Amino acid sequence: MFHAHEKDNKRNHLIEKALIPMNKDTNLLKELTAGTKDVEWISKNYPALQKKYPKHFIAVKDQQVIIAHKNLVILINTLKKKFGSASEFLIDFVPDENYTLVV
Amino acid sequence: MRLNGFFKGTAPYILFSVRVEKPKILRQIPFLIDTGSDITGIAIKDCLAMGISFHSLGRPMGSISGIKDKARRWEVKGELRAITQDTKVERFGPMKLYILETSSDCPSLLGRDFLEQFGFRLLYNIQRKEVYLEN
Repeated sequence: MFHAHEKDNKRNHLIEKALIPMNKDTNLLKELTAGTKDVEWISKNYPALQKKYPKHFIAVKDQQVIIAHKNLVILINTLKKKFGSASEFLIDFVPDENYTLVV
Repeated sequence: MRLNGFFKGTAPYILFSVRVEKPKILRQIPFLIDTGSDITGIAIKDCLAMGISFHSLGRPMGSISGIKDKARRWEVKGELRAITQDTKVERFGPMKLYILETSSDCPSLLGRDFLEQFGFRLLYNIQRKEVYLEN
């Protein structure tokens, strides 16, 4: 009986061990899926964003512009004050319609 | 394997989750796919959002030259993660990444180093307005 119990514990431990990377990937998949929705939303609404927020930085989450500001540091500090961190927001620069990206 | 990108205006971008241990970076970053760049770099806005101070990075590893200006850069080791077209998480790395002290409107860059290291080609479907990396 004790032997069987020990065997069960060992098996449970192995299952748990195998599930950790799976859970990690599941979480990452969820995060990336949410992020992909946000970037697709930006892509689709880019002309409208250029009209509404020309030369602004925007913080986006769940397909919404949460904050927009011309100054990146002010935008990040506002996010930190309001939400405790800026790391969960997609931060992007929206150029005006005449802007050309030169890298 | 195919990784879907997206357009911002006419510029091709792709989303990665970036993981760097030192300095601690764990963030989803849209990268401009820049075949004119030989390095992959994280721009200042994404570093500031993670609370990274340039003073804490030590001495820069040279600089990167753009058309307008030069930007100091710091080398780090990290991993990029993305969703494939068949909704699986793929990890790319460890690979050399750079933290770039660019102007704040400059995006993070996915350069040729990434494309070459992982054998990706950049493909467009102009009619369907699609962009993707395929290997």
